[in-house]
Amino acid sequence: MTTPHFVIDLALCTGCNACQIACRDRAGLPDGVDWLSIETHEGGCYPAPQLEYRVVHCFHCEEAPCLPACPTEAVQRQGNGYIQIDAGLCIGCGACRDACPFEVIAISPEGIASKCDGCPDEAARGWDTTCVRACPMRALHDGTKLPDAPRVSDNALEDTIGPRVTYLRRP
Amino acid sequence: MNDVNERRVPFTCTLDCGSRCELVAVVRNGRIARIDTPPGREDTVERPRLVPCTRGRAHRRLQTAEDRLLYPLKRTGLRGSDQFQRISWDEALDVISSNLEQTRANYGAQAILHATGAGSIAGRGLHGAAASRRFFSYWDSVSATIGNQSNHCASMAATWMFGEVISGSDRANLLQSRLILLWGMNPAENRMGPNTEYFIGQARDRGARVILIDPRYTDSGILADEWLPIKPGSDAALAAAMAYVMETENLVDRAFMASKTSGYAAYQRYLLGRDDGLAKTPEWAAPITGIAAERIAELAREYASQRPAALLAGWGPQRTLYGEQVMRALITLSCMSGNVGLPGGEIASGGTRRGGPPIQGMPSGPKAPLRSLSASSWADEVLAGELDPPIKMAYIVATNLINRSANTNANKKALATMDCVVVHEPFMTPTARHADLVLPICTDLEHTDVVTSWGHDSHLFASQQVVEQAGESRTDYWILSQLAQRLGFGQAYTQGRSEVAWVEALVQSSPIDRQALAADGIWRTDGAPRTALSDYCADPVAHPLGTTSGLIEIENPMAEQYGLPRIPAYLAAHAEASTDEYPLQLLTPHNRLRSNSCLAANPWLQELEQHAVWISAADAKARGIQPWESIEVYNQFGVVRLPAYVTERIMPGVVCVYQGTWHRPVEDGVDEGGCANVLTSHRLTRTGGPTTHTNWVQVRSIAS
Repeated sequence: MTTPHFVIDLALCTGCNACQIACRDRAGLPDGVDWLSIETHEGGCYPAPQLEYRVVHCFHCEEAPCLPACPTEAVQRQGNGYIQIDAGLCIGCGACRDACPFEVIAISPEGIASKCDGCPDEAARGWDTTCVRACPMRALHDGTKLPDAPRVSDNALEDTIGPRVTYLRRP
Repeated sequence: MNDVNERRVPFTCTLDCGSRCELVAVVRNGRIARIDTPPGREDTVERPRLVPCTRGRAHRRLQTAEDRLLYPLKRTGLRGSDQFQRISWDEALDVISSNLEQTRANYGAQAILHATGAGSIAGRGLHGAAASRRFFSYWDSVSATIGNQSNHCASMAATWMFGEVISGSDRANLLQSRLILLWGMNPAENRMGPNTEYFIGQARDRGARVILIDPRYTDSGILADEWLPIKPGSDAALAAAMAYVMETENLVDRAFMASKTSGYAAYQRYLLGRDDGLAKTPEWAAPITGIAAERIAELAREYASQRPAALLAGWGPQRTLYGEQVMRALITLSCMSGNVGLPGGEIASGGTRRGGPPIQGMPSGPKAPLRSLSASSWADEVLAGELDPPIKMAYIVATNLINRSANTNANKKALATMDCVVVHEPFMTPTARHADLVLPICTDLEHTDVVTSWGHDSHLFASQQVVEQAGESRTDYWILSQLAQRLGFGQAYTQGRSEVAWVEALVQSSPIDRQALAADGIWRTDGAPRTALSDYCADPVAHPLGTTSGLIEIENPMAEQYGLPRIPAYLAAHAEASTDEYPLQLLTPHNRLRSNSCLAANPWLQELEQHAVWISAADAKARGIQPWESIEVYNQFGVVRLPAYVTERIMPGVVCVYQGTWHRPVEDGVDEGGCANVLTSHRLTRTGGPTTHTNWVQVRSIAS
């Protein structure tokens, strides 16, 4: 499996938002800007409702459309596989945001694009990323540490661009 | 890669949130750069980290919230008009001390109501109610709010049945459970001990089946295999019908009942209808609970046969008109299934006490309050006008009193009858808005304390002051020290100690290693998971309970003194409801983004979720209500205007408004802040507990 890779266990995510706030806090994002968000999927009929929370952030895709979309080459893949946005080169045109099917690139109030940077500061200290460490359910994993639980992977994501994520469900 | 300008300072929340977790403030150049957890801590299922929730994670934004109170304020306009003027600490303290003395001289000390709550708990005396209780214990015997608004009925039931309030088993025991009943319990939001939700998830992956019994499909529903919607207030009926099936199909653990309980025969008579001719069959319970008779019977068989099975009882079901009966019935059901005293089983104890870490709080002075007012219904007592002396002054610490006690509109009226209201607060809460003097309190990041775990654990947390106190905000201890000085007992109150000196003295006189605590931020009790009542179950003669018989008592003569039956019979609250005018049952549960009304000022948390009325698709359709349109929820106590969350996740006939958002009345008196207690009654249970989940409302569209 190429790295980085994210594993998100839908069977355990209760939508508590701890990862979202931890991410926002670490990245020092202004109010209303998030690099990680949680989609709520609600359906079914009483008394059999369906509820699922999905953590969504940049998945540093294999064929990431944000890369070619950027006119100034501010969006770059690093040697470690993460895609980062160079704020100094960004002109805030929004092309990367518009190209991303997961809608995980934000434009700050100052007009700079930003998104999940993979927590290089955490990795440099040998720690798991902020979102992984923040989860009270231990539902988030980096791809090298798959959970030891009965799960199947979910193929709901349109993966022609190769998002580096596996969502897990109960079999 | 340790930045030389970076400090990582351990601290923790003092919220009454249901947990207590490990937090670290990362400080760079004197400012809080972020909130983190101790990163190096191992995290295994045997020794899991105490992972903080969303609330703890959002501390940095609370710190910078725009409406922090930074200076003492004096009211200059009408109460509630938001007209205040900044004054000096000297002026504020002089005015308050003279008001305390004059009120005492004119009416007696009992004319002063000392109102406290759970805004800041679990410190060892320096902050919140502990600091002010100690203050008044040296000054005079005032009136005080008393009462447990959280688990009053559970405590009552435990005292009758076990002889004392006991805590449940350590959550790690759940890994051994084959069946877990989340009975009105919502650990995904309320935690009830750190890692409760984590252990339930892990237990399920080890093969446990999880059933959620709740009027709502809460976020905890994600951790459950099945949801059984139940009508609010009917829990004792479901328990009775399950007990009936177990009794008549011979699924009761007879050996346990014979050797470890007393009084079961009386409950048996009730179940079989020997006295009232009404057998408590699943068919009897089906219309009461809203659960099909066959499903009740299956649930009883499953619970009785899957051992160990854990019955985790939340506190919502006992915050009802006959909450004592609910907890008594659930404890009895746990006993009948034999799931007591064995790892992976769990008795529906409803308690949190586990002894706590071995450290004393600051000692109390000689004077106890001479008059108590119910923390739930104090306003009724004030407004009835029969108190002698009447309450003329309120001193309010660590509680958003009008917001968090039932019937907010009456609470405002009650405060308005008083000559002087003093409030300690970090924010301009609805209660602070109705005060004469508002004293700015600093946050958890701005004080030093040692803080105990919330329950289910016996840890001690070092909470260090991370940054300077904002503006002129101060600790409760500092304010009360200054007042004590003015009133002539400063030395007795402080014993000449600063807060840091107190913390050091308290830790020094305990067996806890001060240096290790300071370095690590936590003193943890670990070891094998503890099982509730294991000693008693192993040898009830050697380890008798504190009841008259020394056994778990199913029949409680004490209950009769309160007008309740001797046995855990179901009593219907419906008879006391005006179901024609107000046909919908109202739930007012806790929310994961607040702790009661604390954190309602944190923009990060509050913008995560639209505060709304949960209403079933069926009830919305019947009223022509569209999703997210603004609707009114109302009853005889008030009106709340909120968006409609039309959902399949709530039982028809039931609506839900999460408690804890701040009361914000607009011109016509309607609350657009969505404070749930605008709609709740002061009525108490027979033993004095709150009834915040026994209220009825009607809902209307305002679009037309």
